[in-house]
Amino acid sequence: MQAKLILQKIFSRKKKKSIKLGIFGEVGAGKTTLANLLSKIAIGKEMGSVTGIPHETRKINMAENLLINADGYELNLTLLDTPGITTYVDFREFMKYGLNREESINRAKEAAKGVVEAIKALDKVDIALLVVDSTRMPFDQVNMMLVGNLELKNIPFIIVANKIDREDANPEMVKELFNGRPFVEISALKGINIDKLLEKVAEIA
Amino acid sequence: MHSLGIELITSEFVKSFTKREKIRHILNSVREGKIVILEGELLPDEHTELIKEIMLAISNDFYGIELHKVFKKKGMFKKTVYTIIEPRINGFKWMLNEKVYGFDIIAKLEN
Repeated sequence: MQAKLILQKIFSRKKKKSIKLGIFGEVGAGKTTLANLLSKIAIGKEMGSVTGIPHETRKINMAENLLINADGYELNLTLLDTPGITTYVDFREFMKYGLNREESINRAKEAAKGVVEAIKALDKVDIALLVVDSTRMPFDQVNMMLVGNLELKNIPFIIVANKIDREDANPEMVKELFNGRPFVEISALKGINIDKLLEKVAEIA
Repeated sequence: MHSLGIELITSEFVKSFTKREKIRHILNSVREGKIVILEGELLPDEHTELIKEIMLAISNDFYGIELHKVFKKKGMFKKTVYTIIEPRINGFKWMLNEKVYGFDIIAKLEN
């Protein structure tokens, strides 16, 4: 009887998977919104701030031991929310958001360093989420570069078409462009399809 | 002081370059304000190296680059890929006629 209970306990126990999950993508794709949502699901608090000013995340934010259940697995996530990757940082853009010249120049310098950090972080993750803003044309060379590098390094990744709650979203176009690669469409802001995303993470981990 | 210029780099020309030399050459040209038309594509690791170098070079005058990939028909079936590397610098903006993709490139002076 005792043995039966132990066996039941063993077989009902969820399999654990520890994953270093990196969130990558262009500036303003919704990476921190997604990181905040995952962190909130796991520990009830957010990781970083979202203000609408470009390059809000200028350093990698990391959260460890985020336990999330997905698809019969207990995922133990180390989450890396990385700065947006871009090919240019124009300090004058920040002045449009009310920052003075000096603040804007400093922010541009930090943002540029953040891009380098984000690129280096590609080597440090087990799985990458490539967050794409599905309201924009997805042909940006940054996305192509990220996919090319992840494939070159054999790092599993998921294309995450974000912002599907918006009327102008076109996740189908994103799916078509990255044809054949693991794909999930979500809204990090509204929490749509996050279960599907986590299932996909558990599946490829 | 930047100068307006367009540099065409043929695949033949870069054949003898190491990856590092290729990146340095492109970086130096765009920092001078030249638009670079590279015959062929950057490999994914060259692409990331270029972005890293560009980010380290960003200043109050030089804001980075924009990358475009264009295809040009060569005969009936052949297509050549060109990578256009456009500098973003203080003082003027390159404007590409993306509808034509025939390399209609003009520079617009900024105020």
